[in-house]
Amino acid sequence: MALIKLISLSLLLLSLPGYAEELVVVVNKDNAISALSKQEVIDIYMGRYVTFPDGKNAKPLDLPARSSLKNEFYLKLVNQNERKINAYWARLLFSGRAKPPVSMTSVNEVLGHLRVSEFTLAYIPESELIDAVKVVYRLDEN
Amino acid sequence: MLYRHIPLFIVVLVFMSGHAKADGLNIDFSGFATLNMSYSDNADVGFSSNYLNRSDTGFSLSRDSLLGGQANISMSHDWDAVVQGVYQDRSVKSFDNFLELGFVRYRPQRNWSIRAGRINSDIYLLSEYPHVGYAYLWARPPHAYYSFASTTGHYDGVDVEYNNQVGDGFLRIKLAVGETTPTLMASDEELSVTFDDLYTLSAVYLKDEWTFRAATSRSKISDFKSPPFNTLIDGLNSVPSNVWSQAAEFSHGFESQHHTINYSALGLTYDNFDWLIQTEIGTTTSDWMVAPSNISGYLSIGYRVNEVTYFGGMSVAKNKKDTTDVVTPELAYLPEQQQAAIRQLINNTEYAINRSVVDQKSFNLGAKWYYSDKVVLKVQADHFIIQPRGGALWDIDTSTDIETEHNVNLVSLSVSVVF
Repeated sequence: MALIKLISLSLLLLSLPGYAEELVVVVNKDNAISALSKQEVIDIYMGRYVTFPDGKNAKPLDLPARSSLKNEFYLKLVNQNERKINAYWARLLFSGRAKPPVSMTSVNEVLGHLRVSEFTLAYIPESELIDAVKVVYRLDEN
Repeated sequence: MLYRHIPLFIVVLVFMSGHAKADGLNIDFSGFATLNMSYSDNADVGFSSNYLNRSDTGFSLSRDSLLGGQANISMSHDWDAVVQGVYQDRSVKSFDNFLELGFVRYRPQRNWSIRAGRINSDIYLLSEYPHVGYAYLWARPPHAYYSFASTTGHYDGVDVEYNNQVGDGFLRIKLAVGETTPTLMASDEELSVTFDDLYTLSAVYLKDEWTFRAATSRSKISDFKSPPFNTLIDGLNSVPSNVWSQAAEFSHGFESQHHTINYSALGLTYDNFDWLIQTEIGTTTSDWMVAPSNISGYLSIGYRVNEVTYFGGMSVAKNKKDTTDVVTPELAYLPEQQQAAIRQLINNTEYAINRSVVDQKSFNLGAKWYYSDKVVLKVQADHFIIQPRGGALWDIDTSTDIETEHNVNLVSLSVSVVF
């Protein structure tokens, strides 16, 4: 009976939506921003504003094209897949409105930029958090 | 005229900034291109995707093909500049016709931006990126709506934009002032017209899958240079009113002074995971007989299946008023030579009036294949119906009968990239 309970509990844990690793939006610890709302993250990542809410420059970074993390980020943030995001950014870039987030090759490269720039904004798996950054938004928040 | 020098200044600034990169400027280069092969089946009616490009019939590789390059220059926290050039099959190949954007922008705070230089007009849904095939659904922007619109696709001047969250959506409001002088070919003659004191007020509201757009603009017509029209106007001015009473009325209608054009447009886009629906309607009010009042619009419906979006749509453009009838006066009392000259002038006037009439509709079907992150492929078939005397958006030879309906079938295959 105890074995059945243990197996059931394990299956339940595996089936929970939260079992997949959570994505978090982070900035350098020296950035004065302590938290961002979902709308404020959308504003920056979708090129509506080029600054944080306090008026400081924002330099958003993207994870590699066609990576599952990038796809998951945009699906959760604006319910759009990468194909639509690419077309969206072609419109914004060539209308002269804004430049897209700078694409990185890996989470490590993202962390490297976060360490040295207080203007950088990025999304990473929660397990990759380091002391030099702080979480300003969790993708699973509503 | 003041505004016309601004784009040149911006281009010089960009070249200077290339040498000043070490001083902290940041410059990013990017580009876009479309290679389009199309076939138009009506040998009597020349097609061009917009007013500024060369018209032709039959097979063409140049009809909708283009190459664009852009430099984004960040100068400081709140100053930047953008320069964009697009090489395409312009009927008049001048630097002015290839420079699409060239502005400096100042953002005094988060919600405000001010631009000066060559600016995209922001009147239509696609007016900020009409050349970036990768970014929209069709092989080209809908012809009935965007063909004449190309003449005011950009202008030299200043705009001020305010944006902010409103309710659950995002609102952008823009006020712009400037001027533009498009140069094109008509009946193998170069033609240019200046849209002066061009004021535009536009608003865009974005909410989830929806985009709403409204815009209105007003401009004065000035400095109209067209040898055939100028000759016609001179001829009309030389006819005494007691010989042909309508001559002065038509002369006034064709000349560029004292005319204004008002334009208003509404646009709507619904874009969710499966469906992409776009529609626009625009109305022009004008007392200038070269570009009389008209109404145009289109509806396009696309449905996504994996990497392919299938689409279909229709568009319409039509003059709002019937043209003024040309009444031939009694000329028998005049010497035969004068009679012949005035009859020729009347014929030319009637032809000019009829060639300014827009009355057409079109239907299209096609597919856009998202091949990779940087490449899309498109196939599209269009069927155009041009009503009798309704071919103002088309290049129709003077020997072709414009009193009958013309049909044009156009098939396009294209690849668009961004880089």
